Amino acid sequence: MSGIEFSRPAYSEPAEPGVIYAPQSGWRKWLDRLVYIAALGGVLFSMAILLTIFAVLVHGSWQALGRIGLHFFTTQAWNPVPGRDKYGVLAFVYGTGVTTFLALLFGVPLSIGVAVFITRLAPRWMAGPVSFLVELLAAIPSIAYGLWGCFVMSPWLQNYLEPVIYHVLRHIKIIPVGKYPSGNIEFFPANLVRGGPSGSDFLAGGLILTIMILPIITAITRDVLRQFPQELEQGAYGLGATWWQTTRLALVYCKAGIFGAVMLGMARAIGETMAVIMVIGNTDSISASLFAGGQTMSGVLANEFMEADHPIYLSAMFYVALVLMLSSLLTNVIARAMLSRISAGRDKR
Amino acid sequence: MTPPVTADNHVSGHRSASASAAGSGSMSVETRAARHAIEIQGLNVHYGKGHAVHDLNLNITHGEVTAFIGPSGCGKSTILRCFNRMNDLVSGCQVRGSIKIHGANIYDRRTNVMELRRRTGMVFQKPNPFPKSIFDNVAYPLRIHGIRGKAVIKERVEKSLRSAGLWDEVKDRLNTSALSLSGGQQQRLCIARAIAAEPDVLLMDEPCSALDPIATKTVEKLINDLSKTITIVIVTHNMHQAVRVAHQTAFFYMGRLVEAGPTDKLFHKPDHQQTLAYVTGQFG
Ligand SMILES: Nc1ncnc2c1ncn2[C@@H]1O[C@H](COP(=O)(O)OP(=O)(O)OP(=O)(O)O)[C@@H](O)[C@H]1O
Ligand SMILES: [Mg+2]
Repeated sequence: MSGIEFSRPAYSEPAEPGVIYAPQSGWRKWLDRLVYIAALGGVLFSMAILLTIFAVLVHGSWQALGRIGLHFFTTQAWNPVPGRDKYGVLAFVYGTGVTTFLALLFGVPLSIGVAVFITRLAPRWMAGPVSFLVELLAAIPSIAYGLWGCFVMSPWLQNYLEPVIYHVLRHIKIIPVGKYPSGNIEFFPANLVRGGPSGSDFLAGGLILTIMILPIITAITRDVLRQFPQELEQGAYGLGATWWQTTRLALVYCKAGIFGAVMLGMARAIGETMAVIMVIGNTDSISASLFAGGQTMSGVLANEFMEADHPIYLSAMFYVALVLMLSSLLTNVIARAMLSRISAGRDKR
Repeated sequence: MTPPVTADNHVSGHRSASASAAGSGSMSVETRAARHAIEIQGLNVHYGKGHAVHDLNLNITHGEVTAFIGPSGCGKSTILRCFNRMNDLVSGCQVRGSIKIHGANIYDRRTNVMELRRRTGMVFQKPNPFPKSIFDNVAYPLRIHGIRGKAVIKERVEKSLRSAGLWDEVKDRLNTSALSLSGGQQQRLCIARAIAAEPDVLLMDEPCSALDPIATKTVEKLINDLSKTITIVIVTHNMHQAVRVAHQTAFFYMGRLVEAGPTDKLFHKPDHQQTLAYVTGQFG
C-alpha cells in the first residue's frame, strides 16, 4: 500500500508530493465498500423487521380495532366466551404498570446499593465474586425464576411476609385506583392491602421482577460508577467530604448512565412474561391491593394464545400485542428524551 | 500577622530561617513570623515496601509561602498529602512520625479528618471542578460542612471568588457549568473552592503546571495575595515560580530533605552542592 511516512528522519529528502495523490489499492477500496454495504444492509434489515412486526400486529388486530376501538382502553373486563366477547386491555395495562412500578421501587435502590458496594465499599477480594454472582442472576432462565417463585416464594410470602405487611399497611388507603365493579373507571379510596394473603398477587409479581431486573441495573450502574474520575473523588475528599458525600457526588455525576440502566431494567420488567404469570394470579382484576391477583399484557398473551379459537378473540389478542409494543416504544422514546435532557443539564449546570 | 508581601518578594531574609532546624518546634521564638503552622518530626512514609519519605524534620512557618522543590519522584506530593491525610485513601500507604498543625497532632486517633481537611485546603495539579455550576462548586465545601443559610453561602461564595480573582469574570454566569470555564479560570475556581471553607493552610500541588504563562501569572499573584492571611505550601517544578512566590523553599532529593531555608539563600548561597546543582538546572 502506498502511504505517507510520518516518521521520516529529519535529514532525509522530503517526500514527493505525488505520493499523497497515488490511488488506493483496489482490494482495499472494495473492502471499504463491502463493509459499508453490509452495515447499511444490517440497518435496513432491522428497520424492515420492526415495520413488518408492526404491520402484522395492525393487520391481525384490524377486526378488533374496528369493533372495539378505543373502548379497549376503558374496559376492564376480559371475557372471551363466544357470544359474550367482552375485551378490555385496562386490567392488563394496570397489571404491567403495577408490577413494573413495584419492581423499580424495590429494584432500583437495591441495585444502586449493590453497585455502590461493589465499586466503592467492598474490599477487592470481595468485589469480584459479588459482581460475578449478581451477573449470574441474569443467566438464569426466566422459567426457572417462575418455578422458584411459584413453589418457594409464593408460599413463603403467603405464610410469612404478607401477614406482617398486612399488619403494617392495613390502614393505608390510596386514592386514585379502586376496584371497578361496573367496568367503568371510578375513583375512591382503596386499601393498599386487602383480603387474605395469597402469595399469588401483584406483590409477588413485583418481587420476582425485582430479582430479575437487579443484575442489569447493577451491572450498568457499576460500570458507570467506575467512570467517576479519580480527580473529582480526590477533590471531594480534599475538601473534607465524607465517604457518603463523595458517593453522592459520584451518583450525581453518573446520573445519566444510571438513568439508562434503570430504563433497561424497566424494559425488561415490562416485557418479562413467564416468571410473572406463574406468580401473579392471572385474573383480569384491577385492585389497589397488593394482595390482589392480576395479569400483565405479556402474561395474557402467553396464557391464552393457544385458546384464541374465534376470530374476534384472536384479533383482540393481537390488539393487546400492539398495545404492548407501542407502550414499549413509548417508554423508550420518553426515556431518550429524558436522557438527553439529563445530559444537556449536565453540560449546562 | 505577617508583614505585607510585596509583589516583588525575592527577599525574605528578614524572616527567621527556622525551617530545617530539626526538632526546633518551640513556639516561643521571638518574632511572630516564626510561629509554625506545620511541624513535622521524624516523618517516614512507605508505599508497601517502597520507602518514599525518609526521616523528615521540617517546620513550616505560619503565614508564609513555602515551596517544595526537587526532581520527580522525590516525595513532594507524598509529603503534601500527609498534611491533610489524603494518604489515608491510598491503600498500602503507611505514615509514621508526627505532624502537628497549629500544635495539634493530626495523626492522633482523635483527629476529625473531615475537619482537618476543611482547615487544610488542597489544590491539585489538574483543575478538577465538579460538573456543577460555578456557584455550586464554590458552595460545595460550605454545604458539606453543614452551612445552610442561603445568604451566608452566597456571601461566602462571592468572597471566595473575589479572593481568587475570579469574581469579575464570572459574576454574570454563576449558574453556568464550571466546565465551560477556561483551564486557568477552572484552576482559580478550584482555588476559590479550596478557600471557601476558610482553611488556615492551603496545599498546592503543582497548581500551574497545566496553565499557560498568563494564567500562571494570575495564579501566582493570587498566591501572593492569599499568603497575607493563610499559610501556603506549594509544590513546583518551576524554579522561577519558587523564587517569585515563596518565602521559604525546601529541596528534596530521593525522599530526603536536603536543605530548607529562605528562598533567596537557597537559590543563591545554598549550603549543599546538590541544591546548587538542582537550582541551577544541572540535574533533575
Ligand atoms: N499511590 C502510590 N502507590 C505506590 N507508590 C507511590 C504512590 N504514590 C507515590 N508513590 C511513590 O512514592 C515516591 C514519591 O512519589 P511522589 O508522588 O510523592 O513524588 P513527587 O515528588 O510528587 O513527584 P512529581 O514531581 O513527579 O510529582 C515515588 O517513588 C512514587 O513511585
Ligand atoms: Mg507530585
